[in-house]
Parts: sequence; C-alpha cells; structure tokens
Amino acid sequence: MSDVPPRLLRETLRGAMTPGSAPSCLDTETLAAWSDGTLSARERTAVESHAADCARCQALLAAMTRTMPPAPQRTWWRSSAFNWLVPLAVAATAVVVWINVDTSRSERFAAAQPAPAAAAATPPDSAPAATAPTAATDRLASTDAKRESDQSSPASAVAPRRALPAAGERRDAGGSRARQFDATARAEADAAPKELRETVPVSPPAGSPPAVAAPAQPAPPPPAEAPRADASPQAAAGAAPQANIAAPLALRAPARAMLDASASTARGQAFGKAAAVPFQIVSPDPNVRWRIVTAGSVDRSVDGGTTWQTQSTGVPVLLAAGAAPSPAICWLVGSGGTIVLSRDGRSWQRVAFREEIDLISIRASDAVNAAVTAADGRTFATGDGGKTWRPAGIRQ
Amino acid sequence: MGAHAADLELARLCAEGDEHAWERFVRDYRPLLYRAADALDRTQGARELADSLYADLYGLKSGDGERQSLFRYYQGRSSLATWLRAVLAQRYVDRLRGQRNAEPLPDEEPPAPSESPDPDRARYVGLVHRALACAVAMLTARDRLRLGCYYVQELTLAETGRIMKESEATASRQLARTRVAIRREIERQLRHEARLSDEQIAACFASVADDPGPLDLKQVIYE
Repeated sequence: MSDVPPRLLRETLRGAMTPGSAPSCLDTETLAAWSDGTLSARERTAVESHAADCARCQALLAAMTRTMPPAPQRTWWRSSAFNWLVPLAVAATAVVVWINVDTSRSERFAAAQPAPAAAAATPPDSAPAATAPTAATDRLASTDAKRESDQSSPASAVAPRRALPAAGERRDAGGSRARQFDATARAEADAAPKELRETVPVSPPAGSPPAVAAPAQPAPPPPAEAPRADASPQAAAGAAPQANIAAPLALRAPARAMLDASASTARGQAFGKAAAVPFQIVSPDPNVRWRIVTAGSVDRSVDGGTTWQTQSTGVPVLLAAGAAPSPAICWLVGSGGTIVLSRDGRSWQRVAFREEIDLISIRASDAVNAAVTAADGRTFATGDGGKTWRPAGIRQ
Repeated sequence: MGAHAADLELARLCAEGDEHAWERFVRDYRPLLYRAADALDRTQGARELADSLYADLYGLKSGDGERQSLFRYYQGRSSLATWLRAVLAQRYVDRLRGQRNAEPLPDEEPPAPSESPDPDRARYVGLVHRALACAVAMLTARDRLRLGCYYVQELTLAETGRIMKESEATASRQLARTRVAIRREIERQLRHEARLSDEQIAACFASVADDPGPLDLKQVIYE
C-alpha cells in the first residue's frame, strides 16, 4: 500500500487551518517567551494547540525558528545515543563495589592455608594474577565456588568479614588519618585503588602467559605532599584515583578492562562509603576486633565494638592496616616498614622488616604466615612469624 | 523576569530617549537583527523590515510630544534579542501574507485533468480526500503542528524538532509514526465506511498519487 502523497497531505493540512489574525493568536511577548522556553507547560501546550490549526501563528513559529541562532553542536559523548553509558556505568560500578565487598583475597588466602607449603610457594598476592595455576590456586578456585557453604567453617568465616571491610577500612583510614600522618595517608591513597582493582576476581585465560606487571609508581616524597595532609579526608581520598590512573595497568582479561573502565567511579564511591566506616580489624570472632585510632595505640573490643580498650603498640606511628586471623592474633602494618604482632590479643611486639618502606596492607593466616604489601606494589611473605621476609611479587 | 533585568533596563532607557542606551542598543543588536532578517529572506528582502523596525523602536513623538517607542511593549518575559526576533518575524509573516492576499489569481483556468481510463477515479480521489481530512482531524494538536511545520512550513527536520523541543531524530520518527497512523486511518475508513475492497483501496491511493489535484494550483499561488 502506497503512502499518502506529501502533496495531498500538505493540502489537507492547509485546508484544516484557520487563516489566523484572531484575538487568540500569539502576541509578540508570548512568541518570544515560547522561543526562549520560558513558558509554563500549560502555556506551551496552549501555544502548540493554537499553532497547530492557525496558519499565521504556525508561520510565526516557523519564522522564529528560522531566525534562531544555530544550536551548539553536541559532543558525541553527550548525544542521546550515548545516554545508555550512564546506566551502564552505574551498573558496572555497582558490580565492582559488590565484587569488592563480596570477594576477598584474604578469604582465598585463609582457605589456602591448610596447605602451607603450597601457599608459601605461591604468595597469595601474586598467585591469582601473575603465576600459572597451581594446586593452591586450584583450591582457591574451588573455595570461591563454595564460598557460601564455607562461610560456616571457622577458617573461612574469618576472612570475608575481616578482610573485606579491611579494604574499605584502609581507604577510610587513609582518609581520616591524613591530617595526622601524611605519609601513611598518601601510601594508602595510592594503594587503595589498586586494592579495588586487585580484588576483582577475574582469572587469567587458561594457557595465557603471565601478565607482565609493571610496578606502580612509588609514593612521592612527603614534602611535596605536605599540603595534602591538611586536606579533608574526601579530598585526600579523591586524589588517589588520579594517581593510579596515571600508573600503567596490566589488564588480565577483557572483563577486567570493562570493570577498570568504571573503576574511577567505583573508587570514588568506595572512598565515599569508606569515609563513613570506622577502620576496624575484625577477627573470626566478630566480638573480637581492633581499631586503629591514634599513633602508638590501638583499641580492642571483645563485645563486638560496644566497648573498647586501648592498647599500646609500642611504635609511635599510625598503622595503616591489619589482619586478625584469630581472636588472639592480630598483625598491624604501617609506614617505614612497621609491623607489630599480637599473639595474645593484648600485648604487641614489633616485627622486623627488611626495608623502611610504607606498608599498606597485610594478610595473615596465623601468627606465622603472613604477606604484606608495600606502597610501591611489592609484596613480601613470611612463613616464620616475620623473622624473614621474601619478595613475593608485585601487585598491580 | 529577573533574568532579563538588564534587557528591561536597556529597553526602558531607550524608550525614554537615552542616547547612550540607544547607541549601545544599536551597536549590540543591529547585527542580530540583520542576521535574523537574512535568515528569513536570503535575498536580504527582510533587511528593510529590520531597518524600519529601528524607527518604531526609537519612537515617534505623538501629538502631545511624548515619545511612543515600541520598547514599551517589551515586558521581559524573554531576552531582548528574542523579543526583537519575534517582532521582526511577525512583521515579516504579516507582510508576506499581505502580499499573497494582494496577488491576483491567475486568469487562466488550470488545465483540466486528462481523461481518466478509470471511471471510478474521481470517486476514489474524493473518498481519500475526505478520509484524509478526518484522519488529520483525529490527530493530536502536537502531531498536527509537527506535520504542519514539516509539510506546510517546509521546515527541515532539525527546525521542526526545535519547534517541538525534540531532537531531529525524534521529529523524524514522530513524523513517520504519524504518517503511518494517517494511512491506517484512511484505510480503515475506506474499508469500513466506504466498504471498499483491498484492491479498491489500492486503486484509491494510486488515484491520489497520480492526481495533480488543486494543491498544485495552490502551490503555484503560494510559492
């Protein structure tokens, strides 16, 4: 069936119009207001209804439109065709945040501890990313698949509840402590986004070579960052993604790339949320937890955070992160290679470290096995309670 | 209103005969008026309208010596630039309509349509015309306005979209949707009210497609 000829349609439309020049026709003020878009919705509807059937007013609208200055060109990314990016970015951000909250490398680490030898041979921080699959990583994969059922076991029940908030807690701590301890705050800020990226559970393709991991840029010297120490926690946290965007990224899978595309937004949201979360280290027993508040001391609670008791750590630095693999054991790390360990939940002993480098995270399965991450991305592992530390790779 | 306070003040000063304000107005708005005039008529036929507008804006002294400026009608509901464009557009449209009304109709009768081999052709054309008029009348005012802007005013899709406050693509889609709705309504009327068969309906559309109709004459008159 052929379409209605435009000529016939034009004639019919013209025939349906009134000639115009009626009292109800548009006056100059209304016409100009319509052009500027300052009419109310009702007025605008009335104008359209009248102009639909009035030849003169329709010609007026057409003439006004012809005299309008050209509309500014919309950039391609603002066009309606890309409006779908907004909900997509929100959805991707939600996925990233959810993954970071729901998945923990500490969980894998803790689950892998029944095989200490394998775990020692495959440091937890580097194993999923830069090494070929091993027996330990195979077990980690199966552990991931059975996470729900494993949560009832004591060993794995610890890590998710402790380590996942810890990632956010570290970011929170990095923000809140920036006023007091610029170096630690800077290290945390630089490292926290990497934590976010690192926790994305994307496995390398089977048979693919290990990803070449470029070391992250070391933290700039403290004097250059001194003004940021007075910045708000949000400002300090917000600066971190920019620093990490500049760092080269070794993406391990397309899915990872997609997630990283929205990582900056996710990091911003994560930092925002983290700012409201107290920096606590929760042991497998949720009643027992520590929190880092001031330099040289930590608070411990045995009633789920209702009451707190201050403990001296013996080191005059503000600690950055911690791990509590059991209610009695807690590791804490901070700037200058500071590591303290409590084996009884009350007293603290300093653990020697090989370098005076800022440490930004730690994972531990007990008082003997632990792995720390430095601000420059390197990881070190110990299997003897911190007497010796060996490089375990570089995290991106 | 408050957003155009500066424009209102300039209009007030110009209406009162402030020479500095008038100089500023001419300096700032003359290019705008000329651009608008050229957009209305690319042969610069509308520039004289713009020039004549200055006289009314400057104001003519009435019998009692009071200046009567067109600026007095500017109420600040829009920017002064838009208001000036509206004044110019009104004058242009009214002049154009006046010229068309003054033009005499051609003396010669339009050539009679050629002999149609189909004796039902005239009836088919009449049926389609009536059905089309009903279908257009059943459209919403917004759809009619969009159709009118595109087919009668012969605006581009982008310009039609600007009138309708929608994108060019949306205007195109809406026009296509409206045309489909019109065609279906015509078919429905022809089928259910005129009791035509599918073949007859097809013949109806073929008739109006071939029929030059009175519109061609109107087109000659108006354009």
